[in-house]
Amino acid sequence: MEATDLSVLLVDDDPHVHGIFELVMNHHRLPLAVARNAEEALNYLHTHAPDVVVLDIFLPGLDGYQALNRIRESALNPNCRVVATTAYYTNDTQQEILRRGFDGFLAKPFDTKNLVNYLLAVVNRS
Amino acid sequence: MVVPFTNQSLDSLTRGPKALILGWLEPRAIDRDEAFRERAIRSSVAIMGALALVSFALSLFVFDDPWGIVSIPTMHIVALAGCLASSVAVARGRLLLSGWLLTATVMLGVSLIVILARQDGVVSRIFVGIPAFMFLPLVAALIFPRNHILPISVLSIVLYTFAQFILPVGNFTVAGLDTTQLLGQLIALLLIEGAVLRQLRIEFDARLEAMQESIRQAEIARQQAEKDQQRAEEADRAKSQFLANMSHELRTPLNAIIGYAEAMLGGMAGEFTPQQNKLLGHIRHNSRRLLALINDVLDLSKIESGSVEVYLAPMSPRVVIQDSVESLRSLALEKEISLSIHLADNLPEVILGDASKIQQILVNLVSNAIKFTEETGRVTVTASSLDSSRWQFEVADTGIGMPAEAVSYIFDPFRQVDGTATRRHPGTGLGLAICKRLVQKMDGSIHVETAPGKGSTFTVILPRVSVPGEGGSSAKRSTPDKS
Repeated sequence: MEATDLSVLLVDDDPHVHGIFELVMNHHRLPLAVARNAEEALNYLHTHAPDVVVLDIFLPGLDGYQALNRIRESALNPNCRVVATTAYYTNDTQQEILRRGFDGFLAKPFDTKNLVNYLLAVVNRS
Repeated sequence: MVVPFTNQSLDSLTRGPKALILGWLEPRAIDRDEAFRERAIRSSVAIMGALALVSFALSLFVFDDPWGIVSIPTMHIVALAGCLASSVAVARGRLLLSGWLLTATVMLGVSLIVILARQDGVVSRIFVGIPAFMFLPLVAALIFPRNHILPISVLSIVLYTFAQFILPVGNFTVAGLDTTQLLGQLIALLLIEGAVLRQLRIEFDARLEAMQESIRQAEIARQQAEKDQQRAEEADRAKSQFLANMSHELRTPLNAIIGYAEAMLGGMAGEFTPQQNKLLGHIRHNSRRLLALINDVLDLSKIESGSVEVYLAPMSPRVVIQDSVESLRSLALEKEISLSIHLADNLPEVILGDASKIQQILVNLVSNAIKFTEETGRVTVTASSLDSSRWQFEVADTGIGMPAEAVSYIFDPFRQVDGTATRRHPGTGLGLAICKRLVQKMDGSIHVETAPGKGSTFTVILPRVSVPGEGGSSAKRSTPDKS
């Protein structure tokens, strides 16, 4: 697989979510940064500018929506995309997530085949 | 009127005579029984005192009655003194004493009337004695404890006999009056009266006690119901919390299994032999089935435990139906099933409804229809306005249909039509149960018409709530679960 230009920060507390994401990103020869909670994510974002942040909105501690605001405020890259991910969702959840300012929505379990394509689409959307 | 000076009376004095009277009549006792008796005593004292006062004034200034040891003025003084003593006693809360004082006053007063009448030879006044003494046990029945009723009757007899017949006063006789007979009749009457009144009191008291007991029971029952309600609410809250936790706990490891299986199948963990890929496929397929089952069970549990709310917002039935059906078009194409929508002209453009729940129901019904229809069959979705207050949508298929008995259980959880059919038509068996509960939450109804080999038509009828004015705002309504 050719390497496309895409850098991702994954924020999730489940190590298996990391594992699966890693398999996918490695397969596409793309870099992946991983944070276990909002604090680690914000620290990372002080010094790095990934194209997209994949954020689990049910992280223990910080509410996903509050995390979204903090990330947008402190991201070096003003065009940084933030995609929400969660295991529980209904039609309402998806619409609510997009309405609240997320750039995309990844349902769990991940569609591993199309994961990267989706993230690329989100990043390249103007 | 005689008014003893208690604190409350002083208060009422400042508010005028009417307030004074009302204030006096108001019982101070808390027990309903005692309060009733106290009010009777207070009224009697008031009436008698007033009458005595008026009569005294008349006697002094109008009739100019002569004074003496036993005379009309002194009788009035006795009466007034007795009323005063009785009112002091009742003001101090000594009900029994006050009652007896009043009774004694009346007895004495009437006895004096009788003696005076004999003294003055006024026959008509003598006849006051009998009714007055018969009246006493009546009043006693109201205000005394029931054991006192008979003693009062006896006392009345004794006093009247003494005043009327024994006391050596006056010298006249009434011609033809057989005093022994009169006495005998009077004694009998008073005793019977006393006995009857006592019996009445016993019954009255018994009924009062029974009523108070049932009031107590009702209060106990009410408190128990309140406690039960609180416990039920707590249990509900605990259940909802449990469901939320289970939801996360169950999905997390399952998502990991599915994710790894898919990653491996996608070639992201190296190459596998065809045999290994096949096995991986089984893992993925079954874990996805398990996830669907978990989702449905949790969904149903959430609905059953009442944590699902209906969100009413302006929605377009046309758009919701089209979106739901389109999402399943590829599924239909796989089996070459023709999937069509027919919307009636009278279907309203905008109504208040819960779009996502309607979508959930439609997707479930249409995917069922597709699942149970053979290749090249037909699935049709129609929607129309039923009348001014209802609209409906129907999902009809030309599939295998169901036997008549299935209609009664098809909406129950985990019921599917035929054991063997589930092998060919895998499903969780919860879809229709969830649909039915959602429809009920929205105050609607769902039913099915079907015949084996002829296909099935599922009809959902929902209340048609029109949007209030233009640009109606979204409203949130939570309906209690009636399971």
